[in-house]
Amino acid sequence: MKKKILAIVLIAGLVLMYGCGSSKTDKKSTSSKAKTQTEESQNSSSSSSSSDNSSTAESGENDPGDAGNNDPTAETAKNNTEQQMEDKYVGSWEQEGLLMSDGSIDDSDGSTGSLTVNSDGTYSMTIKDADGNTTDTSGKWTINSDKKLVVGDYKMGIDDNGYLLRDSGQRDGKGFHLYYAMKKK
Amino acid sequence: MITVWDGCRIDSERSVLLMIDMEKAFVEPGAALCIAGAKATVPSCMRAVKWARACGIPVIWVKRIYAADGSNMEKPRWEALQKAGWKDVLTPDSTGLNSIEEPDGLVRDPGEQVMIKPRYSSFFGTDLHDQLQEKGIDTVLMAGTTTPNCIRTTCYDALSYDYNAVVLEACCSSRSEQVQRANMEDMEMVGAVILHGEAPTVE
Repeated sequence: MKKKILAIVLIAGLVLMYGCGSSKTDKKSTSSKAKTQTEESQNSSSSSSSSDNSSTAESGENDPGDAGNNDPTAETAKNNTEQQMEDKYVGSWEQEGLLMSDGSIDDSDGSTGSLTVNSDGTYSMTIKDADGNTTDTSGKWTINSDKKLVVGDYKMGIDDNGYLLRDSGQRDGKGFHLYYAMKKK
Repeated sequence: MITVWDGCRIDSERSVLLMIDMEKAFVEPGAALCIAGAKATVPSCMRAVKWARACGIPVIWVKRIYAADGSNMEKPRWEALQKAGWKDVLTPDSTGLNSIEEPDGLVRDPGEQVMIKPRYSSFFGTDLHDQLQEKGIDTVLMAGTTTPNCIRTTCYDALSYDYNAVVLEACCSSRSEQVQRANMEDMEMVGAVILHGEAPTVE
């Protein structure tokens, strides 16, 4: 009788032990599976995010750091700046003389010059050099990356006093380059 | 009158041409102190002198005359002359190749000033600066020999006195091309204007 009771207790114990062990294995398996699913989800999310970024970068849309790229007002501002630059040059210019290093104008060499810069992109220029030789040129004018007016072989900028400066190819006794100064009429 | 040489505007009323040490003893081949490249510059010097005259630019012939006791020359030069045993070189009585006369092909007008300098620089121990100030000169044109010594020291002193220093390259000479080039570059670096080529033709 005692043996029967002991056998039943043992069997019951084994059954309980099996039951608990099985439950633990399932939990572990579920946990592992859940973890795997989380990683996949994150990867998927990351991939999606990366893809979104790429898409944003390519389109240039909704990127606060690059707001001006597709800003129509920026294009307008750029056009306005170019227009202002062109307006500075368009008009009739008359040579006053050689701009010396001390700021004075020397017209003693007898050279003269006139330049007409038209708003349609064309120009005409007449230069008489110190020896009395006259040269007439005409064609298309442009503005280069230094914002200087390009007319034939000349690249001319405007100084603080409003003079359009044409290189004379001369220098003074101190080595300063000298420019013919033209004033807008 | 404004004239342009190598793009440089020169006001003849405010300029002077110094023809420095163009003497037979420095220039003529076979002379005691001959500078290798000096003789070849004589035609360019003559052309520059004629151009200056035509423009109304005064020419001053700056020269060395050595005292027999060496009292008016640099000590190293005096010692070198002593060591070489050279006598009657650039003395007032020197004749022929070692004289103070202009080399053949270079002609001084009798009315043009001669200034004797006791050292390399035309300004040292002379009244050149006072003379130029009196005449309202602000630009000193330099020609002659040798570039590293008398031209260069005159150039630096001219700059120190706030003159426009203008060096006529074709009219200057050195003992070698390298020395000539290096000295021209140095002078240009410190603010001198180097004029290349020959003097312009003046009608």
